[in-house]
Parts: sequence; structure tokens; C-alpha cells
Amino acid sequence: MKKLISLALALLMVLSMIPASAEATYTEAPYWADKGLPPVAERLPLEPMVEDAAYLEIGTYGGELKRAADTGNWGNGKPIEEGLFRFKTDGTVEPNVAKKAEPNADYTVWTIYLREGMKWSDGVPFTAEDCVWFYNAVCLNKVDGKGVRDCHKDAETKNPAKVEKVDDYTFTVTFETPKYNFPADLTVDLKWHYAPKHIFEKMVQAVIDGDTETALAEGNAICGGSFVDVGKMGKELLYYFWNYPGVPTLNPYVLSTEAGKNNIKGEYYEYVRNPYYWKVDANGQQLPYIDKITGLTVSNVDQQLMLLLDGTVDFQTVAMEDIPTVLESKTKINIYQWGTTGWGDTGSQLHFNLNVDDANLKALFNNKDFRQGMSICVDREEVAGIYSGGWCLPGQAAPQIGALGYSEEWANQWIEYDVNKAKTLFEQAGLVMGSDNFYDFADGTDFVLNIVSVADNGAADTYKILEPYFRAAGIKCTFKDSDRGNIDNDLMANAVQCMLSPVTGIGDVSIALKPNAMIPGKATNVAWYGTMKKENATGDLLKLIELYEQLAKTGDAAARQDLELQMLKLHQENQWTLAYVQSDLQYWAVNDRIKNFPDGAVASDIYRDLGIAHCQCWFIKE
Amino acid sequence: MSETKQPIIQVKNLGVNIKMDEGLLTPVRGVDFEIYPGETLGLVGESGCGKSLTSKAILGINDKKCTSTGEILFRDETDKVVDLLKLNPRGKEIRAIRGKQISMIFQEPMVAFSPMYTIGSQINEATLLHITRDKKKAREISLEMMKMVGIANAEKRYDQYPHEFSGGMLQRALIAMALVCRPRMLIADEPTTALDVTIQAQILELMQSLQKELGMAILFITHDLGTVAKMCDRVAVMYLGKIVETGTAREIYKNPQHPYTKGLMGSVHKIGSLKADRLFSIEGTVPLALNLQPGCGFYERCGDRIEGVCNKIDPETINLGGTHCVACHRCKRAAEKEAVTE
Amino acid sequence: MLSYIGKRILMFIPTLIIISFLIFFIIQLPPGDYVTSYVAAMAAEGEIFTAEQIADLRVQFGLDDPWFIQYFNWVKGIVTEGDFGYSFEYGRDVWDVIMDRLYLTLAVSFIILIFQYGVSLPIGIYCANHQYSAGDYVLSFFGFIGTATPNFLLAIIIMYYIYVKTGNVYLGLFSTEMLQNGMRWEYVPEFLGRCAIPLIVIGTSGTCGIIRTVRAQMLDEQARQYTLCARAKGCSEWTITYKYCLRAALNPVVSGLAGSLRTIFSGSTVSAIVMNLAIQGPVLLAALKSQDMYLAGTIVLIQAVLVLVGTLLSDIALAWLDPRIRFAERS
Repeated sequence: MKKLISLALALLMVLSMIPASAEATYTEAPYWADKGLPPVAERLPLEPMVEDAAYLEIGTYGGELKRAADTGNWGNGKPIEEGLFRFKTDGTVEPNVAKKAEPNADYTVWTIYLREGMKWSDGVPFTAEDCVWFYNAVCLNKVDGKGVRDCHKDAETKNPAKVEKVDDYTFTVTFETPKYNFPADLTVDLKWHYAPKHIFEKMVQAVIDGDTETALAEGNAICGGSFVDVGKMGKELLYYFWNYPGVPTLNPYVLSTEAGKNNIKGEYYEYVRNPYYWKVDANGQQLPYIDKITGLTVSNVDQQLMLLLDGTVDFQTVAMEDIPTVLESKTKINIYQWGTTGWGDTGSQLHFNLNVDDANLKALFNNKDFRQGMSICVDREEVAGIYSGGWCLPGQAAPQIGALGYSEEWANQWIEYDVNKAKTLFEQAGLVMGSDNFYDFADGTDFVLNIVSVADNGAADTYKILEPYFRAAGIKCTFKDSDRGNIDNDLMANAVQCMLSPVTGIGDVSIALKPNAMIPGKATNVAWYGTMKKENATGDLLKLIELYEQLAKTGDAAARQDLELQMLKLHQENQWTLAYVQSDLQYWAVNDRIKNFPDGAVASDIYRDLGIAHCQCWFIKE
Repeated sequence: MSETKQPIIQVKNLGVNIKMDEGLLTPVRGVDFEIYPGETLGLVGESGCGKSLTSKAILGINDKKCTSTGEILFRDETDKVVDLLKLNPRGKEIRAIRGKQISMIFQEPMVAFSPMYTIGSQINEATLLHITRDKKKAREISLEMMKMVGIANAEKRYDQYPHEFSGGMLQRALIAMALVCRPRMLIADEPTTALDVTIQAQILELMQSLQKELGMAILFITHDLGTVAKMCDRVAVMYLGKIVETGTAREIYKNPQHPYTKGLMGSVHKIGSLKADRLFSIEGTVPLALNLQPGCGFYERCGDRIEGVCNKIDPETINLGGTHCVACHRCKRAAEKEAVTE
Repeated sequence: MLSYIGKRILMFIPTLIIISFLIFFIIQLPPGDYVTSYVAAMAAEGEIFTAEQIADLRVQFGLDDPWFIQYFNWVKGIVTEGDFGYSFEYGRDVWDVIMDRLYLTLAVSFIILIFQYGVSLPIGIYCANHQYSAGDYVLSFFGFIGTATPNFLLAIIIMYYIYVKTGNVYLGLFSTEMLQNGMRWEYVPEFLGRCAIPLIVIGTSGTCGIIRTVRAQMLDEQARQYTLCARAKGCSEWTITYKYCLRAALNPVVSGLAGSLRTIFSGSTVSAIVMNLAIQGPVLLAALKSQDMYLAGTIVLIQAVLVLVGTLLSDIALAWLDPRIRFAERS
């Protein structure tokens, strides 16, 4: 009996040990062998995040991802960015760096929970201190040039929130009035909400103290740079931080520290895997799979395509017309189709400045009948055919299928071709046919629609296609295109009447997250809310702003959606912006050796464009 | 007299042809003459009669388009006879002769030198090519020759460029360049035509004194009959690519036989003639040597022509006694008559 | 001679002052400035600036001063400290940016220059010596084709054929491996192959002019009396062609070199863009487009200096080459 009991006890002991040994085992890339790093289990946080979306295959380590672009700041950053939270393709937010975000009962205090044991890419622990210090030292003092973002501003008072540390892995964000959608707002406006305090503390303190010399010395020592201006340095190192060597990040890839490979303005640069990256795949392999992202600076889009065809580059966006060429190449390349969020093809969008100085024009542009007339006086079938070589269909500026607010009715609103009806509408809007067969204002002033666009973006050709229709309907038009700088100056000075093919068209993922993306003010490239001032808005535009303000104060999901739908309804009724051709989709051409590239995602800046493809999950299989 | 000495050069039936689209141009159609060591042969004729081409053919420096026929027998310093026409015009043998055994001076001294190099270096080039490779020695030899031709301040002049020399000075330099290697024969192609009269006389005197000193033969080409009288021992008269009369200077001037020679002598302005007298000139002009038919070239312009003979048969050269030869049907008949009557 | 050179160099100073002033004035003439193009570029990537942020940027970059004050500061910097200003686009000293690409530009340009003259001169001489022969026609024909075809078109055609034949696009002078691992012996054949394309494209564009010039000059010289004289002297054909004729024929060629110095520095821009060569030309273009004015201004200023120096050098070379010019100068 004693023997049995001791045997049972022994068995129990053994059994109790099994859970401990059944603890997850993590594996790392062979890249790290012999690099003298601590074991991978110590490099990962206690509960690493697991990338286990249904479409992902378990991958193998190794290889290099080859890019070519004239990427600028964001081109390198967006694919590898790791914010506290991140978006899914359906527009909802999920945990990322942060484990969880909990509001209090009245949504005035949000508690953010971080992952225990997480480390910066240089091995130093990442704690709540980094997040709190970033807000209090950097944002409040505008050291990064951006200051306090809208997400941290109180919905009513606009005062900055209070950010306080609770413990090493918890911090709170406190508002005066309810902030219902803070995680989503944060993911749109600020994304990361952290910076490596252990690296930047001295530099930031010197900036705050006004000690320019020390600040510059510290900053230049960190990245090996030669900044001469504190403001610029702060922006570059704290806002575009992934582009500078010597700055640790939480991203899957970090800019190489090797000379000759770490200058993103040079011919060639590398981003190397982060040894302390805190994500694993479903089998416990530490991500990312691919060892390096290499970048070749190639300024010309055609050249980028050429390099894709011969295999020098692994992936590239392609225009529809180039897809046959890509499929014909000797290298095996796959085409992935992503949805877009634009309302109508950007090149065919016509924006009226609803806030124009001239009283006659302002009244006219704000008149729905005029806009409807401008829409139906064009034969879209013909236009779409010429404009896109048959690739695109006639359309209107409306949400695409699958987006919130989509309706077949709206998508086909005002797309018929009826010149007589257009003329009737123009007259209803108060225009009078002049002796020269063009409409004039009722008071006798000549009406000329002055359309502008940025040069070299195809607008000149689009104008040539559209103008005959406008002319036939009695609208006299002029067209002027000039370079970006001039156009922006004019927009700032409110000197633009009507814009064709804006650089950034209207339409985005969510009207709640980016209301400015839907109204014509987007063309001015200034933050909408606050610049399209409430005092300038009348009628439905005013209602739109009021609905948005109400939305900011609403927490209940159903109520929020209802408000969004009301805002979208206003857009539908007014159709402030016109488009003549339906949006096209985005196509990615990816070399067959790259696996786990998602198909059917959505391209949007909110989703960080390529970021939503989660390159840390890509692997190479020749 | 000259039968005992061997001629230094013998030109036999020299012809120079140029193939053109319009046909065959024959500027030289069978030229015969010889020159003896130490003597000056004058080659006289109007512009375009083929004098220059004849003289250039000797050295083989005619343009690529010209083809030469016949023989040019040259007796070199080892007494060997070489047919110059058989030598490759770009080859080593003829280059060894050019400048060393046979030299040539040209009409316009101003363009005879390259403006890029000093006079001295260009003269010295000949020395270095043919006499010695030793730079110092060569320079001395060149300087000596420069002094010999009468260039004052030779050391300074040696390092000067052609554009710093006057016309007469340049001709002296050209002569120096031609003679620095002490050639056995000099071809002078109208050397004084481009100079003014006083310089002309100086140059001619210089040539004569050098000839005496160096003992060389001179082929003196000119259309200036006055110069011929001064310089030449013997004279050959050329017309339309053929030698029409040869003889000593005296014979040609005092007793011209060929109608053309007669005409030439008549056209020389004589000192003492009245101002009012018109200058005599031969009727007509030299025809173009294109697609020529057999017959005397002078036929069209000859006052003594024989119909049916002169325009059909090439006149052969006959010896009128001693050194005087002529190629003319009329003269031939006259000579035969004499022979018969004697 | 020395006083002549001295005087010429002294003339540089007022010329450069005027040029630098004009350059600066013209560069800042288009409305807007670097901040405008910067804001626009950022907006294209999704980052929006408010009006006050833009004003801040202007202060930061020193662009809120009127332009003649900016010009004065720039010149002061150059003259007193050798500081050519700051490149907004690259975020570094202008001189650093230029030095980055300088060696490669010089190397590529020199190779092309040597290729151009090394190919054109012998062909020109050959054509002159064998006038109207088959070789003359064939070689001149290729020269004409090289000049008549626009460079970039030729580059595209060549790259196309290489792609069709080998499946590789040889874009740029360096392959990814070369950039990653530095130059190694095993890369040299590929590097030479990659150099060949810009060499042929840019090199052939200038060859025709040089070939025809040399050919015409040589024919002129060969007809001159002094060649006949030299031949009569016993000189070989080789001496006559190369010692006498060529030296005289080089006159226009040497004059042409005056512009080469500037071209060596900046390289060909359009071809460089088409073939993705990392040389100076595209840098200047980008700087002008974004109104990165100190960078653009400095590059153009350096080009101006090089034109002046190049002209002086070619004048000196001409005087050395042709004594008649020396004589004319003296008198």
C-alpha cells in the first residue's frame, strides 16, 4: 500500500510537471545562430502575440525581400509599423503592441495594458514608461513637430488628455468628457504612442530646456547624422524614427547599422530583422520569417516594373494595363487584387470649392441642381471607354460595394446622360442662357467654370474628354494645370474654384474615422475639421459637421453606426463631389517565391497600405 | 661632251594619267629627257602643260588618283640604276631617296612649312631622317645649312615659326631644308614665281652658288623665259604633255625650230622694243588633255601645220645635230630636205 | 603667358558673382519654395500639414526671409566658411550630397569622354585617309545613327534587347549583390557589361560630330602644300598624318573640350534617369523640381566655374597646339 501511495505521489509529481514542460517552446531563425544573443524565449515577452489568421501558412526562415521604390518617408515605414493597436480589413481595431484597452464606465478613462517582458530591438525592456514619457515629454512639448494629436484632445474642450503610468505595463489616458472610440482614434492619429526613452531622454530634455547645442550633439550621436536644426531633428528622429540608424524600434525590421546600407536616400539600403520582435507564428516560431528587406532606389515607375519582371524586385503595385505584360514575363509573378476605398476613380473626380469667395459661384456650387446638371450632361459610357481604354465602368462618387453606406441607388445616382434635363437644371439653379450659347449668372455676369489640376497627372486629357460635354450643355470652361507647389499655394489662398483629378481623391475607410476624407475640402490637404470652419458651413454641410460632433460624443456602437449612416445619407443627397468613372482596384504583382501575401485586402492609408499585408508573416519558398 | 658622262636621271616615255568620270585625262603623254650631273635642265611651258606632274612623278608624290607609266631611271650614289616608277610610293626605298638623293622645292614658300613647328625643327627633320640620329650633331648641320643659304641670325631663326619669316626668308629656309642632306639632284618647281623681283634675283644667285658648291643637277621648272636664260644649261620645251623641243639654252633662244618654241620666243618682251608695239601671243589656248586623239597637240594653233599629217600622226623626236632635238613633222621634212640636198 | 592666365582668372570673379546671383534669382522665381513641394510630397503619402505647421516649417528652413537675404547668407557662407548651404531634401550639407556622387560621376564621365575621343579620332583619321571607301561610308553611317537617335531611346532599345535575350534588365551600374557586398573581382565582368550600355548610349551621341569634324579637318590639311613638302622630304605617311595633319586638325576638337569639363561633372541627365545611374545629373533635376535651392544653386554654380575653367584650359591648350594663336596673342 505504501508503495502504491508513493508511486501515486510520484506519478502526481510527474504529472504536475507536465504543464510546466508543456509550456510553449519557441524557435528562432538560423540567422541568429552564433550572434551571441540570449535564448529566444528570453527575448520574447511572456505572452508573445500570435499571428494565426486563417489564410496564413506556417513558413520557413531565411531569404531577402527585395523592394524598389523612390519610397520617401512612409514607404519604408508603413509596411513595418507596429502601433499600439492595428486595423483589420473590416475597419475594426485589434490589439497589437498593447494587449488590451479598457474604458471606464463613462469612457473618460482608458487603461492600456502592455505585454510583460517585451523589449526594444536593442534588448532594453519596453515598458509603460516609454509610452507615458513619450506623451508627456515629446508630444506636450511638440518635440516631434506634431505635438498633441486629435485623438488625445478632449471631444468638447479640446484640452490634451492626461497620460499617467500605473505600473510597468499599464498606463491610463484620462479625458474630461467621454472619448468613446479612443483606440480607433489612436490608431488613426498617433498609432505608436511610444519612443525609446533610454535613447532619447537626454536629447529631448535638452530640447525642452532650450539647450540647442546639447540637443544637436545628442541627436547626431544617436544616428550619426548632421542635423543643424533642432525642430527638424526632433521630427526626423521621433516622428520618422524608422528611417534612422541607431534608433531602436518595435518593428519587425530595423534599419541596418552598416555604413553604406543605412542611408534611405542612397542607392541601396537594408532593413534587418529585429532580434527582439515580440510576435510568433502558430507553431511558436519567432517572426519575421524573412531575414532582410532590401531597398533599391529607383525613381521611375516603369523602371520599377522592369525590375519586377526580371526578378530583381519581389513585389510592386501595377496598373491594370500592365497586368498582361507582367503575366507574360519569364519570371513567375502572381497578381493579387485589393479593394480600394475611393468614391469613384480619382482621376475623374470633379471638386467644387463650396467655400469660394465669389458670391455667385458660391451660391451656384452649393446648389444641388447645378451639380446634378454637371453630372448628367456627360455621356459616361463614352467617357469611361476613352478615359480608361475600356478597363473601367461608368460610375459616381459613392462608397464601393461592401463599404458602409453603399447602395446601388447611390452608386448609380445621376449617371444617366440627358443634356436637356441638365440644361433645365442649370436654369433652375438660376443660370441664364447667354447669346454666346453659354450660361451666365442671372445678374448678367459671365459664368466661366475655371478648372485647375496638378500637371502631369492625366487631368489635361480627362479635361479634353469632358469639356465638349460641358460646352454642349452651355457651360463655358477653362483649364489650367501647374505644378504641385502652385496648386497648393492657390488652395491655401482659397483661389481654386473647381478641381479635376485631385492628387488625393475623396473616399476612405470610414466616415467616422476620417470625415474629412469625404468632403471636397480634402483637396486642400489640410485637416478638415477645424479648417473647413463651422462658421463657413451652411445647410447640409453644417448638419454634417454637427452630426460628426455628435458622433464624437456617442459610445454605443449601434448609435454610432446610425449617425454614420445619417452622415452618409447627407453625402448621398447632396452629392457634393462628382465622379464620372467607377473606382478601379489596386493590383499587387508579387513574385511567386513570396508566400503569405494576402489577397482581397483593402488599400487605404488608415490600414497603412502595405502594412495590412503583415510582411512579418511573409516567407520565401523558391 | 655629254656622251662620256652618264646621266644622273633618264626619263623615258613618262606618262601620267588621271581616270575621271568624263574619260581619261592624260596630262603627260610620253616625256623623254635626261639630266647630267652638275647641269641645270630647264623645263619650260605654259600653265597646264604637265610640268609639275612630271616633276612630282619623279619623286612619286603625285596624288593617289594619278597613275604613271614609262620609266624613270635614276643612277644612285652607288652607281646603281633604279627605276623610280617601280618603287612603292609609300615604301622605304623611295623615302630614302626623297630629300637625300633627290630634293624638291616648291613655288609658294609661305605654305611649304607647317605652321605648328619651328623652321629649325622642320629643317632638322630632314637631317634626322637621312644623316644622323644624334640630335646635337643634326642641329649643327641644319644650322650650318641655314647660314649657307644666307639666313641672318640663324640661331635665333632656328626656333622661330614660319609666320615670323618673310617670303624671301622662307624660300631660303625651304632651300635649306631641301639641300641640308646635300642631294645629288634638286627639282625646283617655279621657286621664284611667288617672290618679288629683287628677291628673285637673290634666290637664283644662291641656287647657282650652291649648285657649284654641292655639284648637284637641277631640274628647273618655270614658265618665266627670262629666268631660264639665266639659270639653265639646257632647256626642254613642253606642250600638252609632251616635250616638243630640247636643246642648249643658246640653241633654243637663238634658233628655235618648233613652231611653238618660235611662238614662245616671240612673245617675250624685249628690252628696247617700242611701247606702242603689241605683245605677240600665240593664237588660241592650251586644250584640255582629255580623250586626246593621235596627232600633234599643237595642231590647232600651229601656223606651219601640215594637213593630214600633223593631225593624224604623232610627231617623232628627231635630232637636229648634237643636243638639239625637236618633235615636229614640218621640222622633220625640212631636215630630210637638207639631208638630201647636202 | 602667365599674365594672360592671371588676367583671365581675375575675370572669373565678377563673372561668378553675376552668375551666382542669376542662378539664385531664377531658382527661387517659381511661386512657392521647398516647403511647398515638401508639404505636397508629404500629402501624397497621406500626411497632412496645417497652415501653422507650414509656417513653422518655413521658419525652420530659413525660408521666411526675403530671397536676397537668403542669397546674401548663402554667399557669405561660401566665401567665409566654404559652406555651401544645407540640402533640405537630403537633410545634410550640400557638399556632402555632392561628394556622395562625385566619384562615380567623374569616373563614368571620364570613361565616356575617353571612349568618345578614343573612338572618334581614329575613325575620323581613317575616314580621311580612305575617303569615299566602303569603310568611310560604313563608319560614318554608324556615327550618324549614334547621334541621330535620342540617347534615351537608344538606351531603352538596348535594354529591351538585353532583356529579351537574357531575361535580365541591367538597370544601373551596380547590381544588388555589388551594393550589398561591395566590389569584388567576380563582379568585374558584370560591372563592365553594365558600364557598356551607358558608354554606348552616351558615348555614341558625341562621336559623330567629332568624326565628321576630324575627317573634314584632316582632308583639308592633307591637301595643303606642306604635306607635299614633307613627303618630298622623305617623311613617312604615318608622320605626315599624325605629326602634321592631326595637330592642325585638332584645333576645333580642342575648342570642343571646353564644354567637356562641365559635362564630366554633372554627367548626362536624361540618360542617367533612363538607365538609373547614380550620378549628379538626376540630383540636380530633383533639386530643381523640389526647389531645394542651396543644392541646386551650388551644383549650377560649380558647373559655371567648370565652364569658365574649361574654356580657359581649352584656350591654353589651343595656344600650345597652334603657335599662330600664341603669336596673335602676343601682338
